[in-house]
Amino acid sequence: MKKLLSALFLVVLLATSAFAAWPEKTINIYVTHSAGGDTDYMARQLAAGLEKVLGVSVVCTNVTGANGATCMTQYKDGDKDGYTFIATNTAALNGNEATGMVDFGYSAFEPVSVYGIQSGENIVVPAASPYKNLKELIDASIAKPGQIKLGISTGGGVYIMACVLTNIGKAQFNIIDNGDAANRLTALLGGAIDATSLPYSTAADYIEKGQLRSLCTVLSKAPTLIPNQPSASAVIPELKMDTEYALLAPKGTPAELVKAMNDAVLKVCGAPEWKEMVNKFSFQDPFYFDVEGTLKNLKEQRELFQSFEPFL
Amino acid sequence: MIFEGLMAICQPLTVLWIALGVAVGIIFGAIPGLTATMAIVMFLPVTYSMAASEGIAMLMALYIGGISGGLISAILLNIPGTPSSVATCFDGKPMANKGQAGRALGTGVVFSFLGTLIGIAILVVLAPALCAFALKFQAYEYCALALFSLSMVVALTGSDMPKGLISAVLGALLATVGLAPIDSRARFTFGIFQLNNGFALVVLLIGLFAISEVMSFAESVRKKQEYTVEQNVKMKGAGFSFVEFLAQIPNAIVSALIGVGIGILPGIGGGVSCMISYTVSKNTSRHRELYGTGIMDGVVASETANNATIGGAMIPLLSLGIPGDAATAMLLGGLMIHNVAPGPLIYEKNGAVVYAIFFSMLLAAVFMLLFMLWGMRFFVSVLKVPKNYLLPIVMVLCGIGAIGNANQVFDTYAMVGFGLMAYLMIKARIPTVPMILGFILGPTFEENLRRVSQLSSSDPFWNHPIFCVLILATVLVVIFSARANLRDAKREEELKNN
Amino acid sequence: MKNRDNYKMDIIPGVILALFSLFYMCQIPGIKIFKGLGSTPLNNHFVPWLWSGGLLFLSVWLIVRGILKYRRVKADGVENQGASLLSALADKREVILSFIALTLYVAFMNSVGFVITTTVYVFVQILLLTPTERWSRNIVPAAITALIAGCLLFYIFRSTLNVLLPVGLFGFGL
Repeated sequence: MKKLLSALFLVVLLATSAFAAWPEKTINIYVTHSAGGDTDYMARQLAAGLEKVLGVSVVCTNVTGANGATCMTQYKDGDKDGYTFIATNTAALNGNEATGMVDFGYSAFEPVSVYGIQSGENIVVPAASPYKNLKELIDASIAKPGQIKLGISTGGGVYIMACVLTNIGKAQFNIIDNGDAANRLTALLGGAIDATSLPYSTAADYIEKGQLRSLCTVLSKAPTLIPNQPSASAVIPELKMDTEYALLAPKGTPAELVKAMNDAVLKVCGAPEWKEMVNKFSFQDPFYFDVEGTLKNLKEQRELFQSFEPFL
Repeated sequence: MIFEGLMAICQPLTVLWIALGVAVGIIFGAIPGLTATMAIVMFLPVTYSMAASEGIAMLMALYIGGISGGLISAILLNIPGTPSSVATCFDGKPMANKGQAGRALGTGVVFSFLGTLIGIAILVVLAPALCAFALKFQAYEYCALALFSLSMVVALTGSDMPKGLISAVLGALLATVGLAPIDSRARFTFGIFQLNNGFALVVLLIGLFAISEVMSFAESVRKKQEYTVEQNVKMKGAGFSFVEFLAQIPNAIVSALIGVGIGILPGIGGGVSCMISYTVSKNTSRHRELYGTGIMDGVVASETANNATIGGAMIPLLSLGIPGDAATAMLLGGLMIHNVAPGPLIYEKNGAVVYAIFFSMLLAAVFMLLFMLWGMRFFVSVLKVPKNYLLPIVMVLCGIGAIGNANQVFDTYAMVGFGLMAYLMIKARIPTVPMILGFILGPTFEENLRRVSQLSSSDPFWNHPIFCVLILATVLVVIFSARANLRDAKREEELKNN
Repeated sequence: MKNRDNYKMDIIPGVILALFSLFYMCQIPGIKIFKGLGSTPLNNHFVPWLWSGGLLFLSVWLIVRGILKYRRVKADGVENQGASLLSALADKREVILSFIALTLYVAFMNSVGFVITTTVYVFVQILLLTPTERWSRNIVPAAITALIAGCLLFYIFRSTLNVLLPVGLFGFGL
């Protein structure tokens, strides 16, 4: 018994000293989306900041496919030593679960931190179109059922938006799949569809040039740097699509390590360079939570997405 | 603005990055399994910390170098280094077998350069007008375009039509593995999540070309005595005369136009452009029977077209912000990260960057020409490396390429599976090339067919003249190619009987 | 001789492909159909049916063509004595062994690690591509090539280009 106790003591001692020494080698962050996208960019900015705070190298690797599901499936049970993390966005994390692409959600991980928020998607129409706001667009679709073409990307956040419009907003669009944002933009410019949802960053120049008109943002609250936009939730209260960037650890990673990583993330996000970067990149102010706040935030979004589940 | 762009590129550091990018691109392009896209993916994060013009210039250099480098291994090893140089094998390797490796390389390099220049010229002059045309291509048009390009299979197969079609259909079948287009439901994955991504084109190419090349060498181990096929490859200038160059100009121009045209239409890419221009060049030539025996025309058609595709693909990328393939999707990301948003305002907001891109493309093309011409004697010396040493290393590089494509070791299993399949297909005399077309175009066809079915209720097909024309053209191509094939088959039969 | 064997080149692949397309067709009903927004009767089963139907048709065509050729050969009255399967396989032993080597290479890469499996594979594959009578002269250069290839490629791609090559048993290079 004594032996056992001392062995236990030794293990605890070793374990705590291991925590104390963390981090002592390269940290790997697996990014769920490909290089060149916003999820990757934010993850790499975070990694660069973490390197300075933690003093070890932080390497980002893209493991892509199936809207992030490939990477998350592969690493949700990865090494639990505090050197393996997954960087993703919450629309993929909660959306893939809600649409049934995967059978696990954020609770299959140890969430470390939500560390940013996207500039959001806007519902846009060609400038020549008669609809001035979301209400008019929905009313028009009810007046001419199945004739107004709404371009979406099936399965993603835009799809959830279309489901909410149809099932809660009672709109009657002809739903057309057009694929990713670039393809939806092509279809809208080419006149193949009448309305769609585009990331603000994609649509901004076209709005400025007067080719497209934004009807509203689907963020719960317009970005801090572009505040004067109507929100979709003013017309349909449930229509809130906040895509946030999240850092996750594999399930079973010790809470101390998660906390230590979260501290480092908060340090990075609190720095003035970070504010400058996110202002420029996503028109937002820094947006981050501690571990409890992250869990609460993910839980809220999951519940919202799950409430759409009957329609998906 | 033009001057500003020029100044941005004339910085010594930027020139250095371009030179480095071209060199790395050529290496990635030349090594089977590593592609231009992969080079861009791997170096994109490096450019995050550079100045905008430096980073973008380097990415352009990687792109141009990568697409051009593919011809080296296509000609010397019969293994296309990138999907874009598949058709270069058809005549490049037979030329090398005839002892004209230097000539084939020279042709490929010079016409790659020419193709790039034509592409850039069209990009600079005609971008806005062509964008309006590209926007006309939506679901209906793509659906018909995919069918039309698939009908090229009939023209590509030659006398044994059913086997050519089998190859194409098999390619399309393989491409259905993974998440279905549009609704992302898993198909034929047997619960293996790595299969959700489907098979990557580069993995299929490795199986079809690299592994089958190793195996065909393995077959000859006990039969061959000499290992070094060519001891002295003559290298003089670019390997061909000025008269020969002039004779190829019409072929090159047609191929370049096809390349640019396919580049402008998002989602098709260099792999298809080289095959289509090869087919067109063959079928419009006065000596079509010589294609495949090692003539310059084939290399010219393939290499001009795939490099012209670069300029073409940049058109919708810059003026609409729409990437045409995986490589330009990465470039789009690279631009956005440097706060250059491609789109209608790019000239107004970032005119200097646009001109910097043009100049960096031009400079990269020149570097590519210089490096490749200068390096030709070294490339050719690859032929002197005993193949029993060279091919195992090539296999390992292919394995790395398969893993690096999506950072999945699983892809190497698919690679071996495709290798076995390709070997058996070659034994059964089923051509492997149509499979690539089926593999690329099958998903395009399906995705757009299903979009058409969504559209048909509010937007019937007679509103789409391009669709109708393309369908008609498809029918005509199938009928005429089938007739030509039957005639070829009959001629072969008669030859056999005599 | 080649001409005479032609019918085999139609019938055997024809049968294999027909069986394959039937197997593929059996999998189609198991695909989950999407019934959400924007779904149409032309669902994710349609194109798989189209391709596999096409493949079945083409392979039956091959089989029929092969049978017709076989009849013609028979009518000519020359029955060829095909080499036995075993000797044909023995003739292709380098190919078979190469495939086995490649399969083992990728199968063990993840657990054993890139450096070791690559070294072993390159060594074995070089020897397989070398006639047996030259092995004695090639063993040392082959071993050196293999070792250099394994270590150098791992270093280049894992450490500098950040490709996730498997580290395996010994945690090399990190």
